[in-house]
Amino acid sequence: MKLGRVIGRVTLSKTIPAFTGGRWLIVSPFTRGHYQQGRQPPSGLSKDPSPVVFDNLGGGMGDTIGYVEGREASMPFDQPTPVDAINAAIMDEVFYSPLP
Amino acid sequence: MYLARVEGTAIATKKHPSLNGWRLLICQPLDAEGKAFGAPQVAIDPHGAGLHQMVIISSDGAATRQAVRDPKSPARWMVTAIVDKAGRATAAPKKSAS
Amino acid sequence: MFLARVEGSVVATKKDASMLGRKLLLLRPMLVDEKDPTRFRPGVNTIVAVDSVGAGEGEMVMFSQGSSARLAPGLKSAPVDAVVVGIVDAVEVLGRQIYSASREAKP
Repeated sequence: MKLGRVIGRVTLSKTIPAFTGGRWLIVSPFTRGHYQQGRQPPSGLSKDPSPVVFDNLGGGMGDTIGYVEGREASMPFDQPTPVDAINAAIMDEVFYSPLP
Repeated sequence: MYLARVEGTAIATKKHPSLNGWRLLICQPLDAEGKAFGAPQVAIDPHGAGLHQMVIISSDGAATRQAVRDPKSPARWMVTAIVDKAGRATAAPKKSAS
Repeated sequence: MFLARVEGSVVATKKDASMLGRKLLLLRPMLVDEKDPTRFRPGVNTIVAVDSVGAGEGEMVMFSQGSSARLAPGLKSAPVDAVVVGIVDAVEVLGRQIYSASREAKP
């Protein structure tokens, strides 16, 4: 999964039945530079495009989340559900220590 | 798969249940010269890799679902090996002037 | 998933049988502008996506890509990699509403 910061939300007026009641978060992906910024929350949005991810963990604005992209994102559902990005974990702590 | 360096860990209480008990390692993909490319991936680790160790991470979700024993797990990236040695056997070819 | 503007549609008579009767839309991805998060910036690509919600030209939609697209209703055996799965009502970024379908509604 990749880490990113929740920067927004999307609400839908019309969806396929499988998505009724779904929660959608806009996530700004962490670049390597974001990891290295230390205790400060990453400033500025990453240049990488911000995907919209399906959320059933209750992620909120400002949360650092681990999200999975691709076919794996559609695995947790009972019915076939065309999700290509899902919130897999809300981070409590991230310990980062690159080799000097 | 990517060659990667373990650069940290992530702790999450609220997560998909299939991830319970799994170490989440922050792995930075490396090129043949050991230089970082792209952003780190967070991978589950069944091998007990230590901080700063070089590993191989794979994005084969099917293998990861087998490892966590949950066919509905969204987990994708997994440490599949701890690396002894990696890189070029000979010096990189010099770029020819032409 | 990403957001996009529907910029048009594609008519194709000769196509894979699994696509019969499906509307094909031309999408321009709309990305949150990292330099000014109160706006979108259009993506570089134009994507053709199967419509699953009855979206019309000019609407803001959400689309899914990759092999997950084939999990949309009726597309299990279709050779598709992009499907429109929702029409956007509102988008909020960093505490501000940067898009609202009702504010855009034509009189």
